[in-house]
Amino acid sequence: MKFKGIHIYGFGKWVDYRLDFVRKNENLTVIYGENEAGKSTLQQFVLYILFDLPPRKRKQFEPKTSSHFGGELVIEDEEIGEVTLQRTETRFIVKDELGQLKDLAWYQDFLKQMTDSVYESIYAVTAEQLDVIRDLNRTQLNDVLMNVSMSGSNHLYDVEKELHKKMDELFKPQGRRPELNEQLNQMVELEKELKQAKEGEQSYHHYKVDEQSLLVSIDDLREKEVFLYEQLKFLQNLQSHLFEIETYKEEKQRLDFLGELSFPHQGMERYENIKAKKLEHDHQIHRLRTELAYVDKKLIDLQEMIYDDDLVERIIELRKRKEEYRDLIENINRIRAQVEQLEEAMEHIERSDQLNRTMIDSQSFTSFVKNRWVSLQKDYDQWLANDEAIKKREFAYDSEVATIDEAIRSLKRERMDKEDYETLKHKVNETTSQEAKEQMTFLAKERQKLAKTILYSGLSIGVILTISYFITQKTSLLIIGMMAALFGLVSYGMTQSTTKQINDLFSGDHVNRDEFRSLKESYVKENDLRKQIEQLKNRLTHLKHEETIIQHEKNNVEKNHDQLKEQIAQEIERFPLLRDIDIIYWDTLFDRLQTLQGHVRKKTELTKELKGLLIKKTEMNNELTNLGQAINRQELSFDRLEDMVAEQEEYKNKYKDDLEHKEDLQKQLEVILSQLQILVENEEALFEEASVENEDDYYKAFDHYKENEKRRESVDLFEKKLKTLFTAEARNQVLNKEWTLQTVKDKINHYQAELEGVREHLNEQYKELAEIREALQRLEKSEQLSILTYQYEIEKEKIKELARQWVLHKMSYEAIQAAKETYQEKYLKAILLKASDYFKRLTQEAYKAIRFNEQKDRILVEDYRGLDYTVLQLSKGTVDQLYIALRLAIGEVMSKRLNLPYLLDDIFVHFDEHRLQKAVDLICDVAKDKQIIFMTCHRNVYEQFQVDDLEERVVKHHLS
Amino acid sequence: MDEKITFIHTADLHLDSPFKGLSYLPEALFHKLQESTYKAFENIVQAAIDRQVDFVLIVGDLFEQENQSLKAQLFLRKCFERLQAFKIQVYVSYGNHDFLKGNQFKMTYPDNVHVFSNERVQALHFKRSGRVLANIYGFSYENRQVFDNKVNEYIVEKNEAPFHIAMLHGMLQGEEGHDPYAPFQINDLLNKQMDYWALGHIHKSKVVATVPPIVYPGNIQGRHRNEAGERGYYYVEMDRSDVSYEFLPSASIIFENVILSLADKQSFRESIQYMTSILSKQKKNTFVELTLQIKEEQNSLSYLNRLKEWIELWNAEQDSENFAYIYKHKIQYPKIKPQFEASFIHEIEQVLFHDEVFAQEIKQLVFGHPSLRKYIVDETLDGVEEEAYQLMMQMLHQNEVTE
Repeated sequence: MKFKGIHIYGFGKWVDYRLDFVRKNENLTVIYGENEAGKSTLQQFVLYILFDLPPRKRKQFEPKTSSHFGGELVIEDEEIGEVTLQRTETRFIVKDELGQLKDLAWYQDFLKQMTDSVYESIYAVTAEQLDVIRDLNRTQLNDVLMNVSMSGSNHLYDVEKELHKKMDELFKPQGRRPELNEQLNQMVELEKELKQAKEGEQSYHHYKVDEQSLLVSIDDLREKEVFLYEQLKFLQNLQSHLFEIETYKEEKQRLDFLGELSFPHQGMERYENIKAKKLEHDHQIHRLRTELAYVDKKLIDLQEMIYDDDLVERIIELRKRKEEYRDLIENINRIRAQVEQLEEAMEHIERSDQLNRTMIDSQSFTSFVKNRWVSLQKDYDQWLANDEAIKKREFAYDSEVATIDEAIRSLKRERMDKEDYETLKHKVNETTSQEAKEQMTFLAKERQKLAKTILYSGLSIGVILTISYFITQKTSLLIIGMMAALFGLVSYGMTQSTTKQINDLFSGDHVNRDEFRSLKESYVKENDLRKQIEQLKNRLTHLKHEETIIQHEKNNVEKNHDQLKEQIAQEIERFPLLRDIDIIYWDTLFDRLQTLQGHVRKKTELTKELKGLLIKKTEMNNELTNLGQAINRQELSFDRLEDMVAEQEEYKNKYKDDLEHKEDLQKQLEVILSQLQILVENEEALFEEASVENEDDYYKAFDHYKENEKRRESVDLFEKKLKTLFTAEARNQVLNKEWTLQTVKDKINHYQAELEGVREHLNEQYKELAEIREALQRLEKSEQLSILTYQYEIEKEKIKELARQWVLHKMSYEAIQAAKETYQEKYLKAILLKASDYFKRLTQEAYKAIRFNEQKDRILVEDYRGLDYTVLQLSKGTVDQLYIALRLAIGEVMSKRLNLPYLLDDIFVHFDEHRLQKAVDLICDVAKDKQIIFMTCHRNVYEQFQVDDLEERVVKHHLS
Repeated sequence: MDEKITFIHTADLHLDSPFKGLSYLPEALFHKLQESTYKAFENIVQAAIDRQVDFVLIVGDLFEQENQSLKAQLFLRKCFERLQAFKIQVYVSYGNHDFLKGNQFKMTYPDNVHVFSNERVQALHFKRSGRVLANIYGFSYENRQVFDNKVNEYIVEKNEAPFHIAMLHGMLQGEEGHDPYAPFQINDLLNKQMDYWALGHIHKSKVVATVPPIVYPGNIQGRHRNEAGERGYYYVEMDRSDVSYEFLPSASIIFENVILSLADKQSFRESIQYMTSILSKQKKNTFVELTLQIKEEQNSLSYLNRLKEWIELWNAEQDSENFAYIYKHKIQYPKIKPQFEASFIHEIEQVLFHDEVFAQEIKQLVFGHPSLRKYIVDETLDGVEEEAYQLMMQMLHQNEVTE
């Protein structure tokens, strides 16, 4: 089989790279390249195409400059012909010469199940492998070479060594320290413990049996103990009561001798009881009798206090008139009060009006009289008013006349003389125009007029107010009136003076304009004055006329007054009581007179009624007094009567109750007396029963009886005590046997000793039982067996696992040994023969053969003289030669099964020139029959292949 | 009268029997394991009380061995006393593991416990208010082995009892993995006019027939890889017209055999994610035997060592109250490829798999070893040849890789 050439699509540094290992029919391909030129990559590429690479390694060769990974390898097979292998990231294609695709099984068969590791161990030899050989120490070297010679792999040595080590660690059939041996020892211990634990558990059941038998034995002993204890107790009891028992026996005998004494059953109690009851009855009888006497007395008293029925009837009847009497008294009092009131009212009238009721006794005051009196009074009032009015008018007249007189007088004093006036008049007329004169005159007149109006007004007001003052008596009116009059006078006065001046002016001698004006004024003034005086004189005349009228009226009033006087006198004559009374009071007097007369009449009526009532009262009081005398009571009242009725009722009831009580008491007395009789009978019966006749004998008989009973009691008591002290059986023993203190004591001592013995034994057995039970409890709680069983199973499992591990390693190791042996048998002879040949050539016949020693555990090398050397005795260079010889020989021999090309990578790197030459020669020689692809990075090695006669057989590549 | 009865049917308690196949356990789990058979029976006792059953049937193999441990016996007595307090009757027949003659010291049980006292089939009567409601038939093994077919001895007793229940500790013909004691065939049982056949002996729960029910409850607590999965007992209700029966779990610890393929997992990380997800889904308190299938590329010492480390880590993280503990792990290797004829590996393969003497001789070193041999059984070394081959491949390969 030959590798013809490769086409790398992309692998490591190679991208789209073609390389022919064979051009025509060459068997040797020498590839030279410096370090890092890609030689190793080429070798890895071939392995990749053939066997694929593990993913991680494949990743290492992914081309950096292309995405197309993979390539082709063309193989030339002698039988099948050309086969093309194409492997990429995604597929692997195998094609034969005709381009037919072959499946994977075909391909694996084609390669005879060759794997990459097998291929590498047989056909791929590298400088590194040599380096490993060189680094080994000499002993190891032998083994490695041995292995190489047998399998072609120098790794086997390591594997063997590791297996052996592990094996020894795990187990040595005769050893102690290895893991399994230790585990086995531990197992022995565990088994011992397990056995003990099992025995322990077995002992549980033995303990159980022991426990049962101990319990039975303890029960027996307990029974015995109880028996002895009872005996002892009996004897001790006997001992301490021996004296009492003897006494008892004697008393019992005496009792038997005396026999039964008769005495009534509970005779003394019964007798005492009867006695006590009798006494009690006596007491009761006494008490009842006393009470009866008392009740009798009470009844008598009550009888006295109860009135006869007719008397009671009277009381009831009278009591019924109580209301009537009370009303009577009330009426009397009321009428009396009324009379008193009337008297008081009458006295008041009499006192205040100076009247006397006797005056009016026979008079009749009718309404006719009253009307008459009223009209009289009115007339009188009218007269008074008229009289007064007249007087006022008189006075007013007089005042006015006086005033006017005065005014005239004063005006006259101001007036010029007649001549002066005429002069003035003349002057004025002369000097003034008519109009001026008129004007002036007019003015003066006007002025005069105004002054007069003011004067009159003031005076009128003054008069009116003065009159008013007289009527009303108000001072303020008078003052205002006076002031008004005064004002009128003053104004008038001033006007007069002005007028005078005018007059003066006109009357002056100086007849100039101012004089003239003054004359004119005086003239006007003088005229006014004269006019005023004239007016006042007119008024006076008018007033004289009025005076006449007033005088006439005054006469009429006088006449009326007289008529009235006569009428009044007539009335006074008719009613003399009016004599001293002013007429103005008559009206009011009439009413009072009438009232007084009413009072008098009323009083008379009331007095009459009162008299009647008082008579009635006296009658009723008499009746009461009579009743009081009838029941021996001095004083009785109607209130008292009421109580008396109730009292009588109460007395009667009480009497009835007391009577009943008396009867009751009598009955009780009878009952008690009969009971007493029974008691006496009983007492007699007791005496009879006790065969005695009186109390003293009865008591004596009782004492005898009691004494005997006491004895019997003490005997009975002791018998009871005996029952508590001893069982029936023991009592039997006690009473029927004769006991002495000594025999009892002896027996006590004997039983005590025996009891102690039993108790001691019992204690021992209890102790034993406790121990057994403790052991049982311990066993019951113990999980030791359970845990040990589990542990045992686990440890056993460990042993199995260790044993398996050991067998595994042992088997592996032994399998390698066995394989080696077979391998040797099958191939070693041929390999050694071939290797010897190669070695001889490489060493230029310094050595002529390679073989194993007889034990087949050591390689021997024979030199040209026939002397044997062990590997250890060889130089490093010779070992390299030996290694190469062996590897080439193995390949040579294996090629008979599958002839694949060698891939040799710088395997002569350590050789000197001389050795190199021989080695190259050998390679060229081997390459005659078998393809060799030789790679080197050493130029001198590469150049060694430049021998002329080789040219036809060598393909050379120089990688750059 | 109420003609309904309820009972619990259990068998093969194997109290205090050690577990097999465990070579290392943390203390807390060890304790849990040690208590598990007890705990399982306690669960049943509690169920009997909670459901107020009339009686409990225990069809043989109460104990692992004839020399019963004291702890187991005392425990059982305590349980019986507890049932007595609730007036629950117990019918016990002994089987091949706890046969009568094997134990000379019998523990005394309270009055509610009725034991079939010999190897002759007899009827015990369950009474309620003085009336017999059920005839319970059965026998106990006097010796370890009973090879006779006992079925013919089961004859329905003619009395007032409306219900007939048979207890039989024996082997259904055709079943495997157990000793062929008291063998019988289904047809034998069907013809016996029984209302319920309470079987024991086979540790896997199985309803053999339904009319009438013929039931193996299985053992109450799994103890090794061959007793994987849920374990329990049957709760039965019976009246004139109907029999209903229900399987209820009792085990406090479960054994599971988990096989996982890692071949399709691209990375180690992905592998452990997958394992974690599967293991986390296990029932509470499970002992897992983990078999990992790997592919060629994963068959390296480094990968396998990492797996081993991860398993140790996983186990260390398990809580004693809730765990899925990997007590054993196995690697299922890829199929062994044929090797190049002239290769050394080919020779090894020849030696290991085709040389019958070679393997036997090496195994004999163990089987013949005076102190080792008593602990080793054939299964101990099952598949060791293949494992050795894989080991060598790994080691040879390992060395090449490190080179």
